[in-house]
Amino acid sequence: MSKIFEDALNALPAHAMERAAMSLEVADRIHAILEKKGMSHRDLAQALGKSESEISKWMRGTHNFTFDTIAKINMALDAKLIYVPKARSVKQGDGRLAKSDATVIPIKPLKSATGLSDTSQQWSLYREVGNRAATVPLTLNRN
Amino acid sequence: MPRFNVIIETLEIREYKAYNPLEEKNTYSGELKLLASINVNVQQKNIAVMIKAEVYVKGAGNSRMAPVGYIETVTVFSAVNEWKKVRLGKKQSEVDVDKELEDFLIDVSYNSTRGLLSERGKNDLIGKVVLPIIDPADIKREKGQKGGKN
Repeated sequence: MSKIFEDALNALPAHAMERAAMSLEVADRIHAILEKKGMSHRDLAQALGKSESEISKWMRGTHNFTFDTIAKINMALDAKLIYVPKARSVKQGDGRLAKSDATVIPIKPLKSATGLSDTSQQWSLYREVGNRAATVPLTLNRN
Repeated sequence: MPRFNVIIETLEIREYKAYNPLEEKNTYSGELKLLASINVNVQQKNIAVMIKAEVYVKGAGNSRMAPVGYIETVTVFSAVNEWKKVRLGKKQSEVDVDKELEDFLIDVSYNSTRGLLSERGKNDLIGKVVLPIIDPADIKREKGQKGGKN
């Protein structure tokens, strides 16, 4: 590697390297989806209303994709280019009482305590309705 | 169920944990796990009953049960007036509480736990669960705890 090239590479901020890697991954992903669906660059260009040369430029892995572009590509390919895992999942433990040691009683949803049979009348768990004790959504269903 | 002449000396929540799910649903299904343990204080003629209750609910889209909370209560009864129902052996560990008395004490403790949970958990999902009325004889006893002497 030439000294000039090495210096230029080192001068790049870390996030620029990361961005370049992500652009390459997106280009790879588009390529894989096109291949799987039997589509060409031309098909994608037509679907997006772009020129074929622009698509080819994207596929070189140097394009800075915006969410807007990615959303349009998602629609055109009917596939998700990028998957973002849901972060708001609650990590809960396994509980304390072992099933084998404890008495286990199934509980199931309850229609409102007033005895209404319409399921749309089921009460929200967190809604405070008059007497709080009456808002219970769970009942015993011992088999 | 026969009645016994016992006095509640103390009633307390020893531990309380709530895990409120981020996803709110209108109704939940799940299960309740219950466990009781008995400890006898021979010197003071007291019987302590510990009730452990844990509620699990099914998450959205999967059948895996996740715990939403745990409560552990201790009720100490003075059993001076019913001490003849407690049989003591020669060894420290040999103490046996009459089955009917034990069930009675667990019944009182469990029903107190139902009330304590409702009050302590008023801002949590587990507090919205009214523990069902059950036969105390159905509540399993913690192994190695029954009749232990203090």
